[in-house]
Formats: sequence, C-alpha cells, structure tokens
Amino acid sequence: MDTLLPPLGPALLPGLFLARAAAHPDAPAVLAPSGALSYGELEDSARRIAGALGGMGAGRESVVALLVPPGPDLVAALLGIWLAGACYLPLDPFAPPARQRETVLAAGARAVVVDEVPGHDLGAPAHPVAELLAVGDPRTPALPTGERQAAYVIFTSGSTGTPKGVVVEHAGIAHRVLWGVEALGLTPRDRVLQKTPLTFDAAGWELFGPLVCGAPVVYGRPGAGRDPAELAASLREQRATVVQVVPTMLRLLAAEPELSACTELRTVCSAGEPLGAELCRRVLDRVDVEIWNTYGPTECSIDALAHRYDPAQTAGPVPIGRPLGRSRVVAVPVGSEVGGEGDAACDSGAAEAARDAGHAGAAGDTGATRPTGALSGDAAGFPGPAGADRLYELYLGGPGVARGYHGDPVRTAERFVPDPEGPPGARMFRTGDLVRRRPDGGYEFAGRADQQVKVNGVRVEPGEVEAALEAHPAVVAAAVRAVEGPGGIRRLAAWAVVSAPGTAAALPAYLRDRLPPALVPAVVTEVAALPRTSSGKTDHRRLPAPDWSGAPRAGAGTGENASEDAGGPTAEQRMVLDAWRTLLGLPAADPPLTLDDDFFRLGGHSLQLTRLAALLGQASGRDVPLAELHRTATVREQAELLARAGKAAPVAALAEGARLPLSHAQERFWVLDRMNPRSREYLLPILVWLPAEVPAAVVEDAVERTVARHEVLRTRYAMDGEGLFAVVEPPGHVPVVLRRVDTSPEQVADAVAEQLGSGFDLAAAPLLRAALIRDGGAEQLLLVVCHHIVGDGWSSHLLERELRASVAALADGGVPDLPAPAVRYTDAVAWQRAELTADVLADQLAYWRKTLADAPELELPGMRPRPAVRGIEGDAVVVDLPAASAEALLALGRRAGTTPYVVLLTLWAVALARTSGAWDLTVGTPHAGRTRPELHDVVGLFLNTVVLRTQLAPDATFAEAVAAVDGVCREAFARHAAPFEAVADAVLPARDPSRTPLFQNLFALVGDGMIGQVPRERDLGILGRAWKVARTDLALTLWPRPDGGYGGALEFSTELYGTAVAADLATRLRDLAARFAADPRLPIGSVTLPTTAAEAAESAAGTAAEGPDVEVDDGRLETVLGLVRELLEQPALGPGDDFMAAGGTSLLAARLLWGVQNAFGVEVSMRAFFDRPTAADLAARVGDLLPAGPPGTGGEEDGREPVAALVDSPAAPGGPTERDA
Amino acid sequence: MSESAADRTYQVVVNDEEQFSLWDARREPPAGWRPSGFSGGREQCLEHIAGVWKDIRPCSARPSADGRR
Repeated sequence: MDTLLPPLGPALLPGLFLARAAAHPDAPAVLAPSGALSYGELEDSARRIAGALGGMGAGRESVVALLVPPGPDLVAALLGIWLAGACYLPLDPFAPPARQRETVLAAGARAVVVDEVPGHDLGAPAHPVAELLAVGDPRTPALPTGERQAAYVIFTSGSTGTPKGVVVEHAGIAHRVLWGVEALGLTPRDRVLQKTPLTFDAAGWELFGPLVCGAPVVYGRPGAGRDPAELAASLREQRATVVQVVPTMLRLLAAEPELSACTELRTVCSAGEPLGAELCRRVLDRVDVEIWNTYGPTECSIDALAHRYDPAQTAGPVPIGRPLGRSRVVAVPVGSEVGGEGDAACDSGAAEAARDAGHAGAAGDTGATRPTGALSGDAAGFPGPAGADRLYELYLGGPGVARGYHGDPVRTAERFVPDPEGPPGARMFRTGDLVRRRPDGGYEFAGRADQQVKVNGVRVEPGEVEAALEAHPAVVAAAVRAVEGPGGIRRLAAWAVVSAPGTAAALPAYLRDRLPPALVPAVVTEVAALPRTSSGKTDHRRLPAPDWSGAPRAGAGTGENASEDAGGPTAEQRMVLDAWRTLLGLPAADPPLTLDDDFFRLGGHSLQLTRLAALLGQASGRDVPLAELHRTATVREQAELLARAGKAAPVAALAEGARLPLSHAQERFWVLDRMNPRSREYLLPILVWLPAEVPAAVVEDAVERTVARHEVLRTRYAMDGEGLFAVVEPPGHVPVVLRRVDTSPEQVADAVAEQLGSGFDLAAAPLLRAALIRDGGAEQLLLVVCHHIVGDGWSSHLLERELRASVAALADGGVPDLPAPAVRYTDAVAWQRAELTADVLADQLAYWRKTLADAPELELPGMRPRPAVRGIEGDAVVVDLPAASAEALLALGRRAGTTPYVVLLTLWAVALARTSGAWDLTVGTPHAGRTRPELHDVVGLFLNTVVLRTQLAPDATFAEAVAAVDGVCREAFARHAAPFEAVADAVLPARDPSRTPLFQNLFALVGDGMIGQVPRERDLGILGRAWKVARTDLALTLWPRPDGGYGGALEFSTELYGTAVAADLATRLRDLAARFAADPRLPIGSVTLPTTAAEAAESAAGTAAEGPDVEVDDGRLETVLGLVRELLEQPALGPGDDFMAAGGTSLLAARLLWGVQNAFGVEVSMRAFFDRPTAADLAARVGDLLPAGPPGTGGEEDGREPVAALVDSPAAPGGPTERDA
Repeated sequence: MSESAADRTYQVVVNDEEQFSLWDARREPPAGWRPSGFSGGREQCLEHIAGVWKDIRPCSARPSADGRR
C-alpha cells in the first residue's frame, strides 16, 4: 500500500468535510446566485437534514433519493444524507415522472429530498429541504462512515432494458476525489464550477473536491450544465478556476466568444467521451489552461485513468493515460477473458495481459506508473510499439471498484470478477471498453467490446432503447445505434420494423414518456426488416442511413391535419415555429415547417433546449418548464406545452364601470402630445389597397364595423384629480367619416400627406380619420390614420387584415365573420400594469440607472449645430444589404446561437461607432411587449422602447462583437417591462429639449413577425414623400427581402444632417457587411473602409439661455408648492427644488399642471414647465398668465421667452412609428 | 466475448466479504476467493448465484457487522 494519500480509515469524505468545517467555519463553502453558505452554515444545515432524515429511519445503507436544483440546498442535502449514514440517489429532473418513480422504487429509497413537492408520485415520501432544515437538530451527531458503506447509487442504462443502479462505496469515491485534489493541486483559493448534473457520477468531485480542501463549491447560471453560452458566462462571472466538461459540450464552449474572457480558468477536465487533440488546441487558442482527459466508468467511482494533455500533440485522439491514484489496469487481449478462459485462459490472460497500476499522487502525470504484482506488464511480454494496433479489453481494479449493481447479484457477478493481482479477495470490473497500448505505456480508448454508446457523455445501452421500442404494440423489432447527425453532432438513431406503417414517426414521443431524454433517439427510421449477421444478430453496419431530411408527417393523407389547422397556426405554434427558425437557421418559408415536424430530426440538439426555452419565454412571457420541454419534439407538442404554461394566470376582465387605466406606452404618448399638442409626429398610418370598383359605402361600412369591434378605436383620454384615465365610448357613438378624395396618380402622395398633416385631440374619440383615395387606377387606397396612442405597428397589420376581410365580405353582399377579440385592450392593460409591480419596476429601473449612467450622446461628423429645440422634419435614404453579405453574417449569428436581429444591430452599432469615433453608444429599439399569445390579436398599444448600450472594443472581432451585443440584448430585453418614460425619468431627471433622451438613434428589424411585416415598396414610396418625420436624429429600419438580402430605410433629421451624411452611413453599413461577411475575425475598429464624404463637423450649439430670475406672489407659490409636495409625497420640498430630480415624472408633471389649471384657471404648457421645473418657477408662470397678475420678469404673455425656454422637446417616441401598411 | 464462452465450464467463487463471482472451473481461484462448490455452464452458474446471493452488500457493510444504530 505505497501511497501518498492519507490512510483510508479516517480519510472518507464526510469526515474530511467536517474537519474542514471545524477548522474554518467562516470560509465560504457554497457560492451560488441563489445564496451562499459558509462551512459552518453548511455543516449546520447538513446536520439538521441528517437529524430529520435519521428521525424518519434513514441510516447506514439506506437510500435517500434527491431531486433538488443546483445550489446551497443541494450541497447541504447531499452532506446531510451522508451524515445520517445513508447513501444518495440522484433523480434526473428531466426524466419522465414514471421513470423517476421507477428509479426510486428500484433503489428502495425510503424518502426523496426535494426542493418543492412535485405534482406526481415519486414512489417514496417527498420532503422539501426547507422542511428538513426546520425539523432537524443542528447538533445531530454524524454517524461514523465506513469504507465499505454505500455512498451513492447512480442508475445507468442497462442493455437488457432495465437500468442498472451502480452502488459506489465511500472508499471508492474518496479515492477518486482525493486523487483529483492532489493532481489538480486544488487549494482553498480555487473555484471549481459545479455544473455537471448529479445524475452524472462525475458531479461528485466537483462537489467534494472543493469541500475536502477548504474551497467553495461554485454555482453559475441555471443553464450552465446544458448551454454553452450560459456555461461561458458562468465561468467568467464566477471567476471559476476549474471546470469539467464532456467533449460534446467542450466543442461548443470552445466556440463561445465569452470563453476568452474567462481569465481565471486554469484547468479544464474532459471526461465521458473520447477527446481529440484538435479540440484541445482550439481550447488553448482561447484560454490558457491545462487540460486533463480522464476516463472511467461509473462502476469504478468516476475515473480510473487520467492523462494531462500535452500541448505538443496537435492531432489525433488524446490518450486516456495511466491509472490514477491506486487504480490498477488489467488489459486483456480481445478474445480472452480473465478467470473464464478454457485451458489456456488464465495463462494466456496472465501472459499477455498488460497490467498497470499508478503511483498515488504522481499518477497520470508523466507516465510515472509502474507495473505491480507477479505478472508485471513489461515482463509479461505484451506487445510494444509493433503491436500498437492490438486491442485489449480493459479490466479495472483498485479502491475505486464499486460494490456492484443494486439488487442485481447476477449482473454484479458477471462484471465484477476476482482480481488475481489485487489484494486477497479483491475484485475488478470488466469495463467492456477496448483500448490500445501506446508506445509511451499509456492507453488510448478504442471503442466498445459491446454495443454500448455514449451520446453527449451519457452512457446508452442500445439494448435498453431497443427493449423500450419493442414494448410498443406496433413494433416488431428495433435496432439502435449512435450516428453522426446533422451538424456533426453524435446522436442516437433507431430503426424499427413496424406492423402498422407510419408508426415510426410517433415512436420518439412514445419513448419520451418512458425514457430519460438522452436515451430517446433523434430519429426513428422505418425498415422492412433488420439486416442480420450470419449468427442472426442485427448487423448494425448494414442499417440504412437514417432519414434526417424527411420530417415525419403523422396523419398525412388523412386530411386530419388540414382540417384541424384550417384556422392557421395558433399564436403558440407561431412562436414555436419562429423560435425553431432562429435556432436551427431554417429559411422563413422554404420548405415550410409543419406542426408535426420534429425538432431533433431537423437538427435540433438537446443542448439547444435551454436556448429554445429562453426564446419561447421571451416570445410568450411565460415560464417554459425545461424539464417538460425535454419531453416534447414537435411544433404541436411544444405549442401545447407553451399554451399550458400560459394557463396559470389568464388576463382577467375588469369589473363593469371600473376606472380604465392607460398602458404605460399610452401614457407616454399622451405626455408627448401634451408637450407638442396635436403633433403630426405620432401617427399610425394604415394603407389598404382595394379594387377600384368597391363602392365607397362598402368601405365606410367596413371602417365603421372595425371601429365598433375594437374598443381602443372608440376610446378617448381624460385626466382628473386621480390622474389619467381612458373612456370607452359605446359603438355607434363615435362619428366615423370616410373622406372621398378623387385625385390623379401623381397627387396620391399629396392626398396622403394631407391626411398625415395634423395630429389629434386625445380628449375626443375617435382618434382616427379615414380617407378613400381614388386616382383613376384599378385600385383605390383606403388610408386610415390613427393616433399612435391607439396602437402599434402590430395593430396596424391586424387592422389592415381585418379591413381587407370586411370589405371583401361586404362587397360580396355578406357579413364579415370575424371572431371577437379574445381579450379587451383595457383588460390587457390592467393585467400588464399589475404585472409591473413596484418591486419589479424598482429592480428594472435600478438596472437601467446603472447601465445608462453617463451614456454619451451620438454626434456624427457633419452634424449641424443642434437647434435648441428638436424639430421633427426628416428624410430618408435607402439601405441595401446584398444577399451574399447578409447570409454569411446570419450564418455567423446562427453559429453563435443568436438571432438576425442581434447580428444586424451589431452591424449598425459598428457603423455608427466607426463613423462617430465613439464606441460607447446607446441605441433605441422597439420591443413588441406582446408577451402573451392572447395579446397577439388585440388592437392596442403595447410597444415599448428599450435602450441598448453597446460598448464594443475596437479590437474585438465582428464575431466577438456579435456575442457582446447578444449579451447586451439579453440583459436589456429581460428588463423590457420598465416603460421608456420611467427609464428616462430615472436616468435623466432633467430633460434637454434639443434631443431625444437616452438615445439619438433607433434600430428596428421588421418583418420578423414580431414588430411588423415587410413593407411594400409602393407604400414606402408614398409615405416617404408624404410624411417626412424624423423620430430622432437617425433611425434605421431593416426588413428581409425574398432574395435573402435586407432592404431598409435610414431616416435622419434634416435639421441635423444633410443627405450626404446619411448616404455615407448607408454605404458604410453595406461596406462593413461585406467585409465581415468575408472574414468575421476582422477587428471591428480597424477594418479598412473607403473614406466617407462626411461634412465637416461643427461644434454643437452654445449653452442654453439663462432662465429669468423670478419673483412670485407668496400665496400662489404656497398653492403650487402644496400641489408639488402632495404629488411627490415630500412635505419638506422647497420652492427651488427641481421637480424631476425630486422624483417627478412626466405624468406627475401633467397631473401637477392639471391641478394648477384647476386652482388658477390658467394652463401652463408642459414644455414651459420642463424648462424650469420648480415650484417657484411654476408659480411665476402662473402669475404671468393670470390676466391681472403681478409683473414677472418674463414680460408679456406671448413670444417673450427665449425659444429654448418656451418649447420643450418631445421625449422619445414610443419606438419606430411603423411606416408599413 | 468469445463465441464459445457459453460452452465453457465455470465455478462459482466467493470471497470473505461474501461477494460472489465466476472463475474458470479448472483453475484455482485467486487468493482470498474460495469455490462455493457449484460449477457448470455460465448461465447455470449465474442462476445459482441468483439463488444464493441475496444481498450484494459486503459483510462489513451489513448492519449486523456494525450493530444497528
């Protein structure tokens, strides 16, 4: 027993942890986003849990199952189970409930420690951690641990169809963990990321390695174990030093841009699958780490061999190396069997077997192993380099050898055999793995002696999957093997002979209810018969290639799908289809996806499910349960899951007569209108082209019906002492007039311009006007212009569709048959407002305050002096991104797992930065805000404007920039609920009328089904001529073209920029796209571009005019100050205090002015108030406006103030005013 | 994994922890292992083991060895 390891007796993991806790109770033991525990606290929790479990009868050799998410509770539960003497059984949170229950029953677990009691029966009583912590005594003594005592049971796939529960003993797991501590040189300063799910035995050392050496167990983001982006982010955020990954994940991780930022990372351990040197090289290109390749089956306590990757190796398989710690290897030539041969068996085995055992401590290091026992390898004459291709089957001996298979003596006796070289009575495990001897004495993995495969690190016995398939009544025979699927990722494929043709398509769904996700084939191919070998076994080599392309078409030909889906896809189905297209990079229309298409068959991978859940969550605003998502595959199934996820809290109807609130977005437009009454800036034009022969009366009827159908079209807005509210007028009480305009084709734009020439009085319904413009052509144009407070671009498409359908039905002499809207807009508004609780808002505003603090303003060279007050005059230039560039950039985005939106936004940010020279930028962007499918058919305003702050590094590559912007978007869109106006108030209490607050440029991608549809060229042309409005300094709107390229419009403020500046920017955008498409590794800051003909930059305008000193009448001031104090609930506020800085918002300001008007009978404009928002100034203005008021320094009532003081700026509009029809 | 493994004769062996396994019937079991007295084809031996080995826990881990708590 030559060893550097501590003697095994006391050196078992529970005792080593307790020793650490006693020595350093205050050291951090668990660090997780959900909370942290010191060693002392962890011990306290573990003892409580042990006490509670002991009270239920748990003790030595009893099994306690575990279904607790990663975090402090999980660590405490594991240790608690051990201190109680019991062994733990991890349950797979993604396995079907039936499988979880079977596992609990098979292991004979007496209790299940859970986070929350699940809705289904787990096969044993479930106890939440919180309950155990409450019940248990923190002074519960730890039951001494025995070497041979069971530590955990982990189920692995079983070839006969039943999973096998591997029982590992304390001596075994302690041996592996302590080897790791020594080999990796773990110290208390290390931060090992615990990201491997507990159902993989390898999670054990991520937990107990740190805990026996005084380091913390570190948790990252919830998806770190499944999603490469989340993993990279976790490594960076947690400053992890050590991480373990399977090669499938390592490949994805190596492609994560954020990996380069993980500068603390020093060691990467790869296990579970063969590792290639090429992958190691790729990792080393990104981070400076040592890479360990470890090997071992669960039956040998995680690992038995290890090899430290030598960076000099540039290609080929990385060896699995030498035995680690006191592990021993017996490599038996294939065809022989230890202890089971004929005459020559043992001799032969003995003579040719390569026996190897490692030194403790130094093992696996640089080949410091030596043969042991009487039949030492070298002396036994095993083949040297000449026989390098000879295959051996690996038998493993040493302390790591597990007890066997729970409750299965037969399989245990078969695989755990006497070890002729070990200590008396020792056993070794027959792995079924084949190896080659390397010239340097190490081993190289060479496949399996049987059919077992590994998929994403999970051990799969095809026999188990075949047995599960054959349990289906229509399956006659089945074969399963691992294949290279789309994208080069290894997947499980099945072939089935079925009695009812067409059954195969339904089999994955059948299996998902019975097997853990990793065991469900990505594709099942129907075959007439399975090819057989001469001995009658399935000949896997002769199985046909799986059919990835042809998606299953369940029910095809029966017409069942067609009738069921006659109404088109549901909102949920549309969201799933959109998410798939994004994730899988499928073209939008060709070939069309059907509801029965299978995610996995189309190339989706379980590693993408976390991302899919996030995308669906973003689109729906619902919490998509990942575990259940693992059990779905088709569009239909995922949409159903999404629909169920939304059932929890329906949008409730407001009581009859309830006060109707405005949405936050509506409040913003109301405030904007107050500042710039009846402005033509905030209009929503809807263009509907109709056949010229449709009579005007029919069109008018259609418009009237539409107004009758949608409350928001009959709504006006008013204010009283409680604030702003909406009034819905009954149908028929709102006058709808259809203006008839007869004109010529050349004059259409002028006619449209006339309709768009003025705004609305928001206090009177309807907030729309309609005109039927005939130019003598075959079509006539129905133009409906609404105020933007009525709806967003999404609404305009709903209205256009509806108007078109109504006109068609009425023109045919029928009646439009349109379903009633599922949700009333006012109810949706009430729901949305209730969702945005004060806590949520405060959280989000805190984020925005921090993120947008000191954001610089954007000025491009050639900008003219900014007028003191922003004007709305604008123009636009055409933007064109050719298909070749766009497709290459989008492909880059797909590889990075991000969306076309993010890629194009990155391009815009780079173009702006390159033009302005400033890399710290803010960009405004619309967020649809329709976070529930029920809201998708509601006409109304949901849009919010979200501000994205990109701070790209000029030396970053475009690919890295995309990743950075992706991160910015994810963070920002997670806080989309905070209304723009509230964000602006929080970040910039004082308004500058010369510019939009927080951002001076907008970016929107339309036509993605979320913000709007692809605009028609004709409508764009008309609107471009008729409605020259700039929503901010610069605004880029892009839309996909059928040829794969993107078209767009770059709108600019004509007060600030000449057409040349905008045209240059559009050119730059196109040039950059071409350069990055050719090479995404080019640095964004220095890639060379043709110089633009930018106009010379001029310095911005001088300082704002000084405000006049004000003397006021004290009585008036008292009233105003009282109103201010009441509204802000700050009784100590003084007359000179800034209303906005003291917490005022635009809406509160409106209420203040309403109060002032009530008190004094004069109306002070919002813009005037915002110019000097103090009680003293307001009182002075009231005095100025009163007919016989005392003279203020301001002078007369009209035109006496400097312009800057008189006219305030509209704050940001509510996002792009969609120009499409 | 040889094709003829099923035809070979094995003996059931047991160690001091009362763990059972198979060994070539014509060879001495390794140190620490003793014949249980049963020999036969592979399947017969496994069937025998199923009948006699009811508790795969090693003796030293069985409650009787520790005394119950």
